[in-house]
Amino acid sequence: MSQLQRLLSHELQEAAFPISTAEGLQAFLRSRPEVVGLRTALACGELTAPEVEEFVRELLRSFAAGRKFSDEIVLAAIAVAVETLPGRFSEEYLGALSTLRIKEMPLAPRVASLSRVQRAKRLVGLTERLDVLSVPLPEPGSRPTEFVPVRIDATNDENYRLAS
Amino acid sequence: MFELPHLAGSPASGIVLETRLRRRIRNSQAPDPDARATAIFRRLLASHRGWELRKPESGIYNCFGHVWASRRTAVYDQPGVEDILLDDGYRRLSSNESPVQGDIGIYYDSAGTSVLHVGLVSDLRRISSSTGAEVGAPVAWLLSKWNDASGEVLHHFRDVPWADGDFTLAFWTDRPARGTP
Repeated sequence: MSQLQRLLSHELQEAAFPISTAEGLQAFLRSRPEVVGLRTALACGELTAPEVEEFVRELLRSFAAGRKFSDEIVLAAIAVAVETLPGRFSEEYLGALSTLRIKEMPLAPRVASLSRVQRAKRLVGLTERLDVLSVPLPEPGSRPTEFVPVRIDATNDENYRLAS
Repeated sequence: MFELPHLAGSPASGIVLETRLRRRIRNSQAPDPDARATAIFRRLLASHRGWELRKPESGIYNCFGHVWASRRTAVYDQPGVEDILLDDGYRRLSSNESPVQGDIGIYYDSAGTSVLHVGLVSDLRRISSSTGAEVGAPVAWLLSKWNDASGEVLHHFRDVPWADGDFTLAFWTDRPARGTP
């Protein structure tokens, strides 16, 4: 059974069914082996973004206006699986899902919003912005100039400091 | 990827819902259950023999709407739940206090931080022995609307869809603490 098919298991659906807050659903899904397995499969390339897209499109075929869309639990599970993965697919998935404001699907977009916020915090913490300087060639006979990149943060707006 | 729900979905709409201190609570009325929701609820009902069905599957409200909005809408955000508990004067029961009818049981994740569900304490029952005699201390039975598509059931406070260790439970009340005027 593929990692995506595991998200449709009765066990997962019955345990997630009675959870009524986005925060609770996100916490619950983070601990589920189905979600961890999906994340691992995506991270190691065993599963690709087009395959996930196709799975989601197939799932949404049963969407009916004016009826609860219970498979939103699966969409929320995918959101939690990709929240720590780098790449454009994760950004696009969370971005697109979090903008939905429809009564058929109240929880999955909320989970995606929470995951986006936490993803942003996590990436900010891991990202270091390094600017590139064009350094003039040293004059003949002078000491070479060395530039040392530093981490940019709120207390430091200098891109580089010249080290002599 | 989400073009279909974007185009065909019904805009979320709620009602005016406020705490006692007039803080707005974000809410949305849920649509009718789909076939999958009905199937999941029926499976849960079949596997929990102790559950007593009060009402079949319905939309509109979830557990928070059942307890705090007279079955008129659904609340999906934990900050809203926390606002209600604070503004409406709820307190967590201490370990030496027992819940009574009208108190509420809030289920959290195993870490005790994320809210999963709330149920209303509706009955206090003792265990029946083989002779039919009631024994032991009375325990809480809760009336629960499991989500915005389930029915309502009366259940023993530990008879829930999650495994032991996957959840924690705290009873809350709006009754004053003993010794408080």
